[in-house]
Amino acid sequence: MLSAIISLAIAISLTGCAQTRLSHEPGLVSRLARPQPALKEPSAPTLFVVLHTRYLEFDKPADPSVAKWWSKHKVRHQLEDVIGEFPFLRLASPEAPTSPPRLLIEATHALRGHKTLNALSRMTHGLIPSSATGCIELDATLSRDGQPLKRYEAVGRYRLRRHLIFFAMPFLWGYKVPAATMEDTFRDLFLQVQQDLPTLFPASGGAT
Amino acid sequence: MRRSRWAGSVSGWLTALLISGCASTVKEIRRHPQQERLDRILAAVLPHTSDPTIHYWLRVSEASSHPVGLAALPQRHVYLAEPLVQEADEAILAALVAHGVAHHRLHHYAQRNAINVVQRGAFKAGGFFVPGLGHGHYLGGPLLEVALSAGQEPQADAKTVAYLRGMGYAQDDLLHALEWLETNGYSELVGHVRAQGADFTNRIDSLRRHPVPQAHSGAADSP
Repeated sequence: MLSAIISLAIAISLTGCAQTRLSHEPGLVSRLARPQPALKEPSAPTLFVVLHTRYLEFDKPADPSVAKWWSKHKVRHQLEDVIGEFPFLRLASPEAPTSPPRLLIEATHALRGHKTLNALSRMTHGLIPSSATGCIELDATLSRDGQPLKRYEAVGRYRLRRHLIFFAMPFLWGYKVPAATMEDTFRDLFLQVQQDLPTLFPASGGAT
Repeated sequence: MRRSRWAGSVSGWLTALLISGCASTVKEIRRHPQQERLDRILAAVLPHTSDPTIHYWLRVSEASSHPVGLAALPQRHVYLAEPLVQEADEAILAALVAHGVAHHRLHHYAQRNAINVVQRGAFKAGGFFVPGLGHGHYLGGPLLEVALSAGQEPQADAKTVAYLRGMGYAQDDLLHALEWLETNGYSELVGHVRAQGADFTNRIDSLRRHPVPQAHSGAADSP
């Protein structure tokens, strides 16, 4: 009896992981073909990156929760990973002076899908299957002296499916997919910025 | 016994949803044409707060059958309804944006959440001794939010007036904004609590009878 209760408790606690995250977009830049930095220091201007993050659940800003904390932490962490590939970028705090070139990024991590079905699926621990889409939306503004120069955007998506059957298939959980999507979306954004640097900052000799 | 627990839980939920105004929904419009205008208004408000570097998510929301004119939601979100953004003048928009920021600067949502957590814990603990009391938070939570909201709105109004004065507007601009919301059937959503109709009338009367003193400082961000 006790072993049954313990196994049930373990099963219930694990069913939160019984979800698979499958294909993701944009998938523009694979890990094997990471972009070579086109601009070499010191010729390239340094852009200070300021990041603001938020987490939306079914079109509403999420209340304080572990999921919200995890999302915000993950987005910042993935940005820190990707930023190393672009030597003209430096992470800065919002309090940093606005006079040097600055790239302000508003990062939205949103979970979209059928709200009621997803709630039911969660309550029944995947007995009722459901699916949702995770969206990473990046809106960035490049500015200098507080004046906006250009706006950029990049969007990434991944699918999330919740089903009891995935409980038995942990190799399908794909828990790294959201992080990979975030990284790809950041790369997509920074490649756009990199392309424009020579025209936006010609005086600094930003030639490719 | 088990059935009565379920019935209690379900009825508690329904009551909670009724009280908290579950019909109030806000759906964001991504990249609205008026977004830059709103960003400019927000940029004018922020220097009058104690920490202008804090980021707010000011966005336009879709029109709905239960129109929410202004919503202050978690993670420093301020939503303005699309028809309102299209029709209202600059002073009304400035007053509403300042009011949303004021709610966040005064940590109203966080206060309610903290008290809710404590209350929930208390009800759960009580449930060990009195059967059924554990479900009390379904009813107590929303009631508490409504009660707290009644005290928080005047604080936010005073803070808004301080911000508006710093921006070169007057207290009357907040009154016009509240009147505009009331006349056009809009409501204000802070967290889960919706203010509308008579709530606006009471606040307008209160502000007319007790104007915010000139000395009230916006930058202090204290109630």
